[in-house]
Amino acid sequence: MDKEQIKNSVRNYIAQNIFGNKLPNDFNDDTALVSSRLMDSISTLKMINHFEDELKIECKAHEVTADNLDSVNVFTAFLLRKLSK
Amino acid sequence: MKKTIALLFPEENPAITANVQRITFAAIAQNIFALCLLFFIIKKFEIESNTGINSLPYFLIPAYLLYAIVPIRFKAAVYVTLFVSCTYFAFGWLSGSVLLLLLLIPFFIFTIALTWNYRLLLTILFLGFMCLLRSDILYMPSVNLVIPFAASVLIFRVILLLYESKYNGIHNNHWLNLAYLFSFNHLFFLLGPVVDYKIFVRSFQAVNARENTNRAFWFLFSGAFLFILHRISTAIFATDAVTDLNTLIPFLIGNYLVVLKIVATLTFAVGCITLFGFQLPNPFGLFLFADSFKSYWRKVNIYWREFMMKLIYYPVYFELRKKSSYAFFIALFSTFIFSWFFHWYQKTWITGIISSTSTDFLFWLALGLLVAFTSNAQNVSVDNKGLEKTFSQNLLKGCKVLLVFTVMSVLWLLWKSESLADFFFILSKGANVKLASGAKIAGVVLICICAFAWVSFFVQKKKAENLKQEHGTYVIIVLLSLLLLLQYFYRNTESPKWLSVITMPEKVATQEQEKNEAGYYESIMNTGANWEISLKRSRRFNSLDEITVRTNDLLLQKFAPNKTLVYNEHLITTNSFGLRDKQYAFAKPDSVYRICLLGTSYELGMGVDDSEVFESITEQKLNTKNANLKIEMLNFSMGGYCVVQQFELMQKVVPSYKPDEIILFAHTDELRRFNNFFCRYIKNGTDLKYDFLKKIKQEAGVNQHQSRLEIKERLLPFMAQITAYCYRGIVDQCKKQNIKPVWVFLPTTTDLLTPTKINEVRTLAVEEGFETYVLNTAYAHTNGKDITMSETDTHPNKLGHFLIAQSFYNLLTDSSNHLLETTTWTKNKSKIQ
Repeated sequence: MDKEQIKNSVRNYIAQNIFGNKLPNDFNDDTALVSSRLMDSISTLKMINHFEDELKIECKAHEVTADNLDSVNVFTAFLLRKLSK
Repeated sequence: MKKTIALLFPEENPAITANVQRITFAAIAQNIFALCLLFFIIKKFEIESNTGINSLPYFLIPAYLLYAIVPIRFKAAVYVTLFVSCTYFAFGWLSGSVLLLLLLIPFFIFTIALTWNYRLLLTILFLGFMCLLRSDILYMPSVNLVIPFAASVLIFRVILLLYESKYNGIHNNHWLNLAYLFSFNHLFFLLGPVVDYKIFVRSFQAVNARENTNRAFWFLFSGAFLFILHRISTAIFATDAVTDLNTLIPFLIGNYLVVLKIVATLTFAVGCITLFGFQLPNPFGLFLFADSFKSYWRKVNIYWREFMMKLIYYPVYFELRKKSSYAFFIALFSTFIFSWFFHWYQKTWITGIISSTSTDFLFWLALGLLVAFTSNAQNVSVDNKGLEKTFSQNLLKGCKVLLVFTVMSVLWLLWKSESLADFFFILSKGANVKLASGAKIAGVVLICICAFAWVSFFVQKKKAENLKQEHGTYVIIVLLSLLLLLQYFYRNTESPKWLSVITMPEKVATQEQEKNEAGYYESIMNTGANWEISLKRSRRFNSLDEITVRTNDLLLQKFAPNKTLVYNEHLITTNSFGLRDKQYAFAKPDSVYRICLLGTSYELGMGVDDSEVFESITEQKLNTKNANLKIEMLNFSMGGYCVVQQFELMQKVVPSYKPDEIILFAHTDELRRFNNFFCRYIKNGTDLKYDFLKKIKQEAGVNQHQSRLEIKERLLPFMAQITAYCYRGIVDQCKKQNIKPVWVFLPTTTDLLTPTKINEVRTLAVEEGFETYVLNTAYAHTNGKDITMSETDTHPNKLGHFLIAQSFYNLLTDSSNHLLETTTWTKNKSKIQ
């Protein structure tokens, strides 16, 4: 999967599981998800589990931070880093 | 020189520097004015005045001025300097240096090049050393007294530093690392926010100065406002006794709203840090209006939640997720169990007492179960913030909010209760409900839900969330200013208590201290409030136990003879009779007029030297002014004694000293204190010895296994009866022994005296045959603070005793009282003449 595909996948996941299928109009790829408390801990972990399965990667507990998950762009970059390892 | 400065203060990342907008002089002046206003309000409302917060502006305002004008690379150093200066001001050179040294040790552990394992080992050794100091095993007075402060800063920060040094590394700007450990809010509030290291160092200068200062003032002013709101809510929901559902509800609410003080403390602390360029998040959401337990947990103490998630929740979840389908549940549940543990850890460090009650554990267990179950139920996180709700949806939300609020009030009661028996006893009162009051309560609940729904509906319509934070700050400043005006123009002792907390805070603040309610946070906050007493202590803290003897009778304890103890820096000496008094001949000489004083800690002179006790001063003055007459005052007082012990002393001890007169002292709230004390007899299983006491125990239906609250409630109606009985016994004994029985009411130093308070017990004393007097002018024209030991210990100090002595002397020598004239003594007097 390339960067755009991952980003689309992340976007779709968020639309489906956080916003009930449709992203709000003011949502963009830099919208804060974790620090703004749009996503709670359970939904965050579910998102990680989902992409671990999809991309066959493994995340660590200390990686669950806003630094890695806070927006579509940030999370995509994090997944790409994990894939490159 | 330039090179050294460059090394000490490296330039920040240009990206960060560019983000920082230079603050104008006009803005600085405006902020200084806001700070002056803030501290003026804090002073006028006596907000947490016992913590030393009133001295803070002398450091904080100049430090802020310096911080605002220096270049960015020096700003963190200004924050560190503020901490150092406050430390030396509060603790003096020796203890201040010790505190700084204790905080520098973890700084070095985490900044010098060491492997993580060495850091862990050194941290454990360091905490172990602090533990030895906290437990007084290593006794160094100047060191021991700063341990709670060092602990309050370090106990969670070292854990976070260990975590960060393992996974993310430590920041290379050592001023920021020092600033993280030099958290000056802990110098006046032992309870502080558990600030995440990464957020702290990253947030420094992360937004422009104006935005950050606005946030800081929002936190500071809303913190101050919440302190006042807490006082008002405490006064509004004050309940003397819980008897039915009508009184249980305000009791539960009042109990729960202690959280306002915690919110105020943490918010104010965050404001102090934010003022110096650290953009910290809001520590609390609107948790009082949470509509689910999950939402409650997300909004209450956000810093704590983040700490627990990082340390416990994520690691446990990642450990179990492939092994158990209940990983979410177990991780969340473990978070609460560890929350209990960390609260116990914090309480132990700060109070120095290792104790945990079953109610502590049950509180966290119940909260954990509620959050874990409800989180699992709501497993899809769809945030409805953007969606407008109808009025009926808001009504439903109102019902949920009420449910969460009610359950949390009950859980909070559980947390504060001494035992499960106490908790269930209070709750059982709720079953006592009459139809009319039930309907009234239902009506109020309905109105509250409708009001909530209407306000929520209105707020979302007006899009209030778009209002800027600074508008909120202005609203709070206006509100506080209105309260100040109210205080200035309306001071009336007869006003209701909720108004008195605003208009006469100096009186209410002291009374609040007296209460020292039980509970987790109260114990931590009270430890902080007593720090001034600790600072004055130059010697190892001595317990009165060292000179008292426990007895298995009604006295429970008495002084051991011929002992000396320095207690709170004051000398206490006992004579061969086991009295805190000078030595007298056991057999009374003919020429002597002997008075025996029966009293409590006030008459004993807790907090002053032997020679400063009002009994001693009065005796000396009486003998000096009447050189030909010898008067002896034997002080039979003891801290914590009540009328039963005084009765017992009159039966067993006092008559053998052949007094001409006994003076029995009574104070405000005599029956309530007696009630507390009598409860101890029952809980201890003390043999009540006298038939009338045994009969009352039987009639009240109390036994050792009941909860304290139940025992006290059952005994309360009998207190006047027992007091009257004891008074009668004392007077009868006096008649038999030809002793003059005198009863004196001595107000406590914090009294707002009313005739009702005085007459509560005086009527009984008169009826039983005492001559009664009131020393109501003892502290006339003095400020409560000048005559008390401290704001937390309201026993009279040296000046207080001097004033009581004057008043007592006048009472005794006023010829119209005939207090020093009995037949025997008049006869002796004429012999001498």
